[in-house]
Amino acid sequence: MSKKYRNAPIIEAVCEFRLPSEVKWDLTIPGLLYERIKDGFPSREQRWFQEVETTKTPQGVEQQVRANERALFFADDRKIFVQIGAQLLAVNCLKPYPSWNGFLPKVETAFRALTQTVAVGQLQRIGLRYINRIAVPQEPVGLEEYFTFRPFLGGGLPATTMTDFLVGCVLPFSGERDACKIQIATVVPDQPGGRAFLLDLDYFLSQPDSISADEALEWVENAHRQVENLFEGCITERLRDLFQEVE
Amino acid sequence: MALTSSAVTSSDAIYSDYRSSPGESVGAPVRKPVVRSAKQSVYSLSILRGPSDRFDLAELTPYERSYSSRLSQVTLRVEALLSWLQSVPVAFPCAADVRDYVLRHEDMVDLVASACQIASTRFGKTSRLYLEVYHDPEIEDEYLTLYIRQKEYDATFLDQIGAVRAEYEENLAGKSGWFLVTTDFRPAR
Repeated sequence: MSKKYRNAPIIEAVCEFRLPSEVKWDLTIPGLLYERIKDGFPSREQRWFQEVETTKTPQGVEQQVRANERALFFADDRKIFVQIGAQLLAVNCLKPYPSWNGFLPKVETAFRALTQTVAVGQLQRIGLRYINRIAVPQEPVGLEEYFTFRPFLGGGLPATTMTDFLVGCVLPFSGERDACKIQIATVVPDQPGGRAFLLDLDYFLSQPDSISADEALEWVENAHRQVENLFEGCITERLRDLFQEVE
Repeated sequence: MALTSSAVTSSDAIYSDYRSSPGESVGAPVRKPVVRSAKQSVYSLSILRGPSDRFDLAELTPYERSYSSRLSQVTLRVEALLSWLQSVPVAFPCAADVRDYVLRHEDMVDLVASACQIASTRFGKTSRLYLEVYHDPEIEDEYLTLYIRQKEYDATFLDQIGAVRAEYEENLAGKSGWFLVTTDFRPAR
């Protein structure tokens, strides 16, 4: 049973589906998809995004920068929106997070509209990402009081308080078919003198084309269970108390 | 595989994102858990390419890395902007207000970054920069304001502010929000 918090730290949840480049894509697809979801996402916008693709070649690391146009379809409160671009569908949910039971139906609606619009075979990538912004009281206690996932400095390093850090790891799941990238970093606090951290859990399909469109939503449900467990595994009871669990 | 950790400063990571010189190369791809320092794995990226790479540093497979800058999330971009501005340095009397405004006007991220960079280059050595959301008390309007404050103000000060504005103002066209570089002539603290 998942925990629910009164002061949930989630500032953004994103569920993203990427299709293989072989999937035929044309400029009419965003419009056709909009027709299917416009009741829930009535406001439309277009935005340009710069994407950097980094590849390693015998000559070294190469970067390609591409500009892609995406259509964004917003729910009335603009807190949940769908992004659609070439071979991409993403559903974003900004704070306040409406619980998984509130977010999942939006993901399902958007993904089903995509599969009704485009012939989707295998998914090249699926990602479920939860970004948490966690502010803790300004008091002289260590990170270990709040986080079980945190930087560790060995005895050979100065035992001073870290002012800034960024730590991450990638954990494999489902026989390395999936992976979750967990990162924690300091961020700018709301008020001068405060302390705030970003805990980012990015669960993704790490083996391309290993999940079909029919299996995608089940994968998302499983990913959510894993992310919930990982999140709980990253924090301490003291932090849970700050979030205030509700029944 | 042992899990190692590393601590870096925000400014290291963020300046790496924004500088235009070639970045340091990345190590060989690995599939097992690994932690890398920002300097080891941050690519040199321009503002437009996505400051959220500040929060995207764990080394991944080549496949996954190919997606590392194809961003669907928006909040990391905003957090990265704030971290980078703090390293400029730009002060935030109320970061929550700025964060909220930029999140609602996410198309302003690049403009704010470049305008603050321009202002810092021109005024940084002699001034303090403060980024705030100005709330108009008479009409329902608000916009981002970068206040330039100095200990003493000379006769050319407003002209210099005008020169900064001229460098970014035309990029405001079509944006969902507004941004102003100005001063309130308060003494820099």
